[in-house]
Amino acid sequence: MGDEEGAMTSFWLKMLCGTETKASKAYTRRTAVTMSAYLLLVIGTTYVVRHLHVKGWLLYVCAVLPSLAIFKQLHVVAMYLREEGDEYLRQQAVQSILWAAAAVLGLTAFMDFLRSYTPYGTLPPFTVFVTFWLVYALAQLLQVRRNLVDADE
Amino acid sequence: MNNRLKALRAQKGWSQQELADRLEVSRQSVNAIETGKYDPSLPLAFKIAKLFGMAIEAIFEVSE
Repeated sequence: MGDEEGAMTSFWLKMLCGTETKASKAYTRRTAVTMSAYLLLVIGTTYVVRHLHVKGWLLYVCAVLPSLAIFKQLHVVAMYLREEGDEYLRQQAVQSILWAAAAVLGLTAFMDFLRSYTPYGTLPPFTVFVTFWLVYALAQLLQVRRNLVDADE
Repeated sequence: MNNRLKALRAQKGWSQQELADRLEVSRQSVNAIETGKYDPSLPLAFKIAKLFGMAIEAIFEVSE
């Protein structure tokens, strides 16, 4: 990893975690790989379905492939929680996951209700996954901000 | 739970970062414990007590 790339990684780690630890560095590295795989799988399967007119059981295979990356990402989070030696940072991560889960479950419940009783309520594809991680990142940022202290305190 | 961590740290002349390094935790953790936002686990409380050479109950007390 070059100096510039390392500095950029460090910046995002501080923004999202507030503190760089061995576990948070490993988490960032693994997340970058998993998210890249997710994007490639979504783009790849979408291309295949649209251009090769996939039907039948192959369509189900194409639908399953991106979700494998989601399972892997949750495994990455589990690894972080296992490897992070700082119990306070662990607690912050769990709180952020709960915020993200609450946001996604609330959103889907709201949209399900709308879909049941109105002509509206269909979420655009892949909204839930993206919303989950955006809320997670936002919750982490808020917690970091809440814990900001003067350097000399 | 109340604690005397900030006062004890001041007596030693340590910054939050120095204390965090000695406890092998983040400065956020030390700050959260000092300000009462977070109650440490028993292993961490023992570690803090050992570092200051005191009993846990001499540093932490349950608030009324």
